[in-house]
Amino acid sequence: MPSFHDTTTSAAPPEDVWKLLYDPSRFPDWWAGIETVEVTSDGGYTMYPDGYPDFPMAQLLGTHLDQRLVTVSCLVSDLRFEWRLEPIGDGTRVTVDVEIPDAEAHRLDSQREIIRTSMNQLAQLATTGQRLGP
Amino acid sequence: MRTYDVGHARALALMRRGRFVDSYGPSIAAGEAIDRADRPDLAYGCWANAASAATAAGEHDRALEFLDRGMAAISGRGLQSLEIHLLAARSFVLRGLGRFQEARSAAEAEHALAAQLAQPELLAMASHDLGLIALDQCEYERAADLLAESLIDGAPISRPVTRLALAEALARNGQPDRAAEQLRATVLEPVRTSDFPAALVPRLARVQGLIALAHDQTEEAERRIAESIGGWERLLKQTVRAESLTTVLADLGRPVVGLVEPEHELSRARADLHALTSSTWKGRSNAVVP
Repeated sequence: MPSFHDTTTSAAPPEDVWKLLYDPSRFPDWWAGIETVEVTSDGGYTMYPDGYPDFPMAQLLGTHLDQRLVTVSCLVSDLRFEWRLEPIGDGTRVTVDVEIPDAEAHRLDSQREIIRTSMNQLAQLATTGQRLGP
Repeated sequence: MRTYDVGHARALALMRRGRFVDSYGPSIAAGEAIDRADRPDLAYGCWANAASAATAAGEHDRALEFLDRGMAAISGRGLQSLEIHLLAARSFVLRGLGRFQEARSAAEAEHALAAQLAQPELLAMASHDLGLIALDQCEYERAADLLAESLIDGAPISRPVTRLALAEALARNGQPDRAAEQLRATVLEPVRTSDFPAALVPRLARVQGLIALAHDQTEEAERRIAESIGGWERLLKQTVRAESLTTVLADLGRPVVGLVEPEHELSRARADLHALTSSTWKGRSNAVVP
């Protein structure tokens, strides 16, 4: 199964990154390619991709008692994202592991780029409270 | 038993759909049927769930009635480990009604029972409940001590929510640095689904505001508390759209006590902001909405 790992550092404390990561309604503010989000239940939400307001993509945000990570699973394409936060000095190290099912392997490079952009936006938004410029 | 099985299952299904008031009938039928079958252990679940539904529906007095029926079903039957949960639920509901002295009495009875059972996890749960009442009553030092005591492994409490309450007690007690340590510990706690992660976010923002206030950073405090208000408003809007206000926030694994009440939380955050921006802001961090 294709997969990749990425990491970045935010100058923001873990609390401020954590708030953005645990609240799907804030995903459009930093996750590239997400235009809107409708929360349907605690942990369940529907994401509408940029430019595709008629394409609902059901997602699940999960947490794990034994590990300090947040998983986001796309229930349509089976992509899986595992996010971890770790304090580093006054800031936060953000890491993500992404698994892509074989049927979606052609999306590997585009997902790398999306996640890189998203991590930068997450780090910036947590630090300044403002999104990166266009 | 069949009446019990059907009634209990139906009540849970209705609660899952957010039809809390509709679930009373099946719960009552199940509770009465299983009482006749002389199974107080199962009757407990029916009355506890009915009380949970009533609390979620905002009918706190009705919840107390159901808890009384639960207690009547199990008392004197050697089921202290269940009695203690009914006392915890009673304390929670009474807090919601602002009847703090009665809430404290219930939590003290819970604590005494936990001591009698000599189970550290249950003692921790009782300390947690007493700590929340102390926080409601502006007894911040006592609240901080009790809440810190409750954070032991295996205690049937939400650890992130408890840490946030502890951070609030410390911030209001003029110890913002210790409060900030608890905030950091909160985000490093493993989070369970039943901790309702989305509801933790506005809680955390509010405590960030209280910490900023304790540091005399008024603008930052206003910004954080406004952020918390925005979060609760968003959550309310989302949950209303998802069929019911509290459908997704009722933890059936922890009847009553596991409930998140966004409207109440929103009121608290709004009161904090009002107190902060009002010209009569004198007691500063002591302004509390129970």
